[in-house]
Amino acid sequence: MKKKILYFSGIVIVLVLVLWLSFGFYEPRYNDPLTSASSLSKPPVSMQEHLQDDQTLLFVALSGGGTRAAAMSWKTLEELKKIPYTYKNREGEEITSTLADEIDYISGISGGSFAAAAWCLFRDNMDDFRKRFIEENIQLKLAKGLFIPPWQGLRLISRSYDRINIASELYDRAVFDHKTFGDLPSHPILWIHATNLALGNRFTYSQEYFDLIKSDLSTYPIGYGCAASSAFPILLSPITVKNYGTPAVLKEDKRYAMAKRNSRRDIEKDYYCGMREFFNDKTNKYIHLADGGLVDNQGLQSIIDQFGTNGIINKKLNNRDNPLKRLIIINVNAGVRPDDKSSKYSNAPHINSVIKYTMITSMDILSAKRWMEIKRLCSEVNKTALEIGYSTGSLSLLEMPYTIEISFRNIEDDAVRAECYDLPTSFYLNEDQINLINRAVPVLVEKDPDMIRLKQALYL
Amino acid sequence: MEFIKVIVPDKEGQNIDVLINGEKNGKVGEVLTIGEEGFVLVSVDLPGAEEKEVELVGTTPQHPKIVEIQA
Repeated sequence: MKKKILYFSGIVIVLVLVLWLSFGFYEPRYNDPLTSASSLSKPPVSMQEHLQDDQTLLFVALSGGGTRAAAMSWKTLEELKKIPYTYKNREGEEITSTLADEIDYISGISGGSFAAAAWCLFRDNMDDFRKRFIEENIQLKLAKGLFIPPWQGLRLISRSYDRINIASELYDRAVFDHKTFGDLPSHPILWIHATNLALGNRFTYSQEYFDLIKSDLSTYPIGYGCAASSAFPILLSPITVKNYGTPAVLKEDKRYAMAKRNSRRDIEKDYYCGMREFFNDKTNKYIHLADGGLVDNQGLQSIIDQFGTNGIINKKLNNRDNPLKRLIIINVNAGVRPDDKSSKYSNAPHINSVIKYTMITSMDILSAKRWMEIKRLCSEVNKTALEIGYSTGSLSLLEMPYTIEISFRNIEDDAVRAECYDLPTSFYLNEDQINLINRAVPVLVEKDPDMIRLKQALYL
Repeated sequence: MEFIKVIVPDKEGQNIDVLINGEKNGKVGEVLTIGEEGFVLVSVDLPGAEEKEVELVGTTPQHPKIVEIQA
């Protein structure tokens, strides 16, 4: 009997040892270092010139909100495809495209990041994305991924491998066909945002950011970027990227030096300096990234940045050789307001509700303020164009900027709005819920006041 | 939003790029928009041009900061 116990104990110990040796040191795929042969030899993705109507600058921001946001983003992009857009190129030829073709920058957060990336990669076959992601039960697939294939879950024994890595591999394989950022076309420019947990600020999957950590974005899988952007705290673990060290010496870097100079009066510059100093610290070898919605759930801050001194909007406003005619910003906001019953009862809300209120409320307020800030900046641009446009070549053609908001809160029908507000935040929607979004979005696009004004300008 | 006008003496009317914080941003002689108040590095895209640190606060389209750059 004693011999048998010893025998089985030995087998168990050997098995545990074999498993630990096989999977205990398993490393997920990390970002690659930047080499002289990689991205430094190419212009950063975000700096490439686009080939569409040079006199129009069109930004689209796709918010977070799981499959609800992905479905709303997908349907909005489909609607933009239906709007004809005619312009004259530099040779004077009349070109007809669609409003969707004119998108210059597409910014995505969490669920919206999947639609943004899919648009850049598969814009002519977005139906495929709908089937692969929007109509798919991604939550179930993620749960299955823990057990099928069996060694997948065993990798979790490793301290470096976590649930987010299972999600990353699933998105990479099943949604994006192993495409990397290097497979993206040069236009439109894609911004996928995550949150740097250590600093509590934005981390954007762009070569500009990857240059700061001396890493090559072109070999990084797009599915991993979307996984980071949608790694909602607690539900999913953060994703880790390696910091290979900032190549530039900070004190010699003009952009850093000027940001430092202005950081006392500009919070974004203060964040930027903090980020540069964090990356520059050689002891910070890893950056842990979570859901981009924690700091900007609508992906609007990256657009606000473009109004800044060295941003693309400000540069276009100053471009006398090719004056900006139209500035269009489309904000697809999948925010919801579930019916709250807590105020009907004396007992305090459950802990789950309190967590939800705490996180969602601050995210919503920040997002709403950013949208208001974009409207204010557009109004300031318009005022400037009116004041000096007659004498300043670069501002003479500018139309009043267009700020278009596709949001459930703009639904006029009370019953439909209430139904949309009740949609869940998850990686699964049933057919009725998807159909509800498909019915609501075209009306929102059609009835937005600035979209009506834009269509009038386009068809004059 | 702030406003600046960069002048290069003896080179009025020439098509010269302005450099703001080291990047091309508009032309010499035109009122240019600057995204936010604060300090900027101003120069022009000419060999040997000087670079000036300028503070912009409270400028208007009608009253931009006039910066003279030697080149």
